[in-house]
Amino acid sequence: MKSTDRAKRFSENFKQRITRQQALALAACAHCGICADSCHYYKVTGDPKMTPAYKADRIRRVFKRQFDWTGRFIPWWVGAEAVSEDEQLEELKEIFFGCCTGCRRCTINCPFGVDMAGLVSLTRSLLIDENMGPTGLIKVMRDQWTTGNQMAISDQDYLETLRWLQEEVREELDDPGVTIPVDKKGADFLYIVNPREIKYAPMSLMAATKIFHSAGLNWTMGSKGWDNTNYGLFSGKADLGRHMCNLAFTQAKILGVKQLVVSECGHGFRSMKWEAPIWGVKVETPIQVVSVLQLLAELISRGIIALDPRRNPLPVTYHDPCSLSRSSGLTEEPRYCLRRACLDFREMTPNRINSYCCTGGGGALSMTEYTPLRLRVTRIKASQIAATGAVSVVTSCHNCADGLADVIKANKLTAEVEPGVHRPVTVRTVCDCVANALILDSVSKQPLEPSKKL
Amino acid sequence: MDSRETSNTALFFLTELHTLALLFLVTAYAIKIAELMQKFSVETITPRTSKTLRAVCYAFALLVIPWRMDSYRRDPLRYAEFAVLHLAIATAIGTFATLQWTRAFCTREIVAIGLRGVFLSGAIVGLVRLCRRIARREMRLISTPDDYFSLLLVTAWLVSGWLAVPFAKELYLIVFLTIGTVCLFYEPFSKLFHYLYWPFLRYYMGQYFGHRGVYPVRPDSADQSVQNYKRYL
Ligand code: SF4
Ligand code: SF4
Repeated sequence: MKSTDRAKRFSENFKQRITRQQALALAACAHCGICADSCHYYKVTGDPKMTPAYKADRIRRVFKRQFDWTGRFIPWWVGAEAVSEDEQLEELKEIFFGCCTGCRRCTINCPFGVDMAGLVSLTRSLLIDENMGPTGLIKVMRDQWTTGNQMAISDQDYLETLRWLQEEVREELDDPGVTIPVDKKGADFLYIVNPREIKYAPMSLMAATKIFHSAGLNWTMGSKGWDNTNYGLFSGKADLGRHMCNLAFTQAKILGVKQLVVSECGHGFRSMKWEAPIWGVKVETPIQVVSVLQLLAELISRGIIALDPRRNPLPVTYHDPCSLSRSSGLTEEPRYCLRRACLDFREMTPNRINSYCCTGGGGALSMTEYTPLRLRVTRIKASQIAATGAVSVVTSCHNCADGLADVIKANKLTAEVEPGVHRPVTVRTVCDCVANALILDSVSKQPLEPSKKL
Repeated sequence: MDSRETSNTALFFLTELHTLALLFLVTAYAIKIAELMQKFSVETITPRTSKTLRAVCYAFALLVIPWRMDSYRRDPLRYAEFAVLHLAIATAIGTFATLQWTRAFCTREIVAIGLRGVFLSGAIVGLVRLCRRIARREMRLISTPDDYFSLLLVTAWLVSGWLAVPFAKELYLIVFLTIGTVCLFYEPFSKLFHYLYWPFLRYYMGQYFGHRGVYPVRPDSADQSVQNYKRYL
């Protein structure tokens, strides 16, 4: 069969770009099927085409046709198949954009450690090169390239929002000294945020401002390079990944800060901290990348801020963002903060690196064509949350916050606020809980007695 | 059948063919590893940390601490299956490779009972897995002819091993050695070769998760972990 030009290019690029880790992941799978139950897509739908192994096999067959000893000569025997038609590419698109969030839950549950996220990244980048990326994702990528942020927020809107938020916090704290500094040279750290915090969820930035102000921190935001999100990660496009990281690192360099503090964004932190070196981001002066969660945990543990957990009296649970837990190892800091900021903290089961994806990971929120399936598979997260009886689900990622909002809405998830009174479960962030528990007038220098829940 | 003739055939398998098969396998290993190193460049990885070695060890150790993996913790029977089958295969390979020297040892009653037990339980697991692969839709969908054939071959080999021990009956011995030889020649062209990749994958996995502080997963409480972290301010 004659291959289409697209298919030919796809195959050729696949051969060129595949790394050793990806080749191993494709060569090693023993088709044992143990990973099936790890995937929320399979677990909820029961559709055999949703198992991680089946999904990976769609690209594995291309690998086997090109590299496997048997696959090259007797392809049908080992399930090898060349990509020759555009329909095959469409199928890959459907699977690698629409049926996998690259959450890595299957990876840690596979006896080999077959890294699905690596395969997703490779396949997505190849498809995007063939103009086969989902429209929403491509639009966000374009916005990041052209405006430096994923929501195409203009400089003017951004700066005005910061000024407005500053006023709001001043009013709330009745303290005219509160500032949201912008481009302050000599600050200790540059705080970079998720554009959602500017456009839709300003409470989160207000919460951070309150905390930083109370702790007397010397911080700043940047007029440029302020978006910590990175669609280079979701698209597998290293050039975009590099570009977004460089924007922030350049701003940090201009301002002479030593630290970049990344707000509550799972993939944003992961990109800045861990993917940047892989994408080849070179930073001349060492700039430490820190998550705001690490900062909060330290502020609390050193007694720089004091919290009163009674201000968050209702039960809360915590959702581990995949990019923070399975891909960055940040599982304990948020718990440390929540146990001190909330009176009733309850663990979801399973949690930490075994937690299920919120279903909004991997850029899924931007790919609306796959929303019906995504909403369907929210059931597993919904049952995890419901089992805790928590009134709020706290997370430390704005992407997950949107994903969780969909989980709650799609499953009509309610919790008992007081005997006999039910209301929809709410989504909160760690910053929000900490800020709400902040004892503003008596910033303690002594560690607070741990709450009884510890 | 003339017993001397049969003995000669067995001798041929023991000394010539199975040595050839082992040599072939070692050569195939070497070629595959060379290919892996040459054809695919390693993805840039994040800088080393002091925990890298521990994390790599942890990634390997997960093989024997299955309760740390959610999938096996929830389905311990699957782990038991895995352990029994792979132990049986390793025993079969070991027996096959050394039989010309260890044949007398294998005839000891206690050793023979042990070997029989290992081969039989491995064969039962092989059959269970084969049935599962055929019966369950999600397994059928990911199975290739090679998957079925490899499993069938290995199961047959283990059954022949069970019948052959203590290697007194020449016919069974020849069947065991023949299937073993076929297995070894077939291995590099099949999914049976997956174990060659296992150490590489676990190494990269350990490195990857180790740098990021995901591995080794510690059962520490949140408090201990935070106190142990370095200061950021
Ligand atoms: S658990 Fe790993 S080896 Fe087994 S089918 Fe899944 S990806 Fe393949
Ligand atoms: S990475 Fe996550 S979503 Fe993708 S197949 Fe694995 S478990 Fe499923």
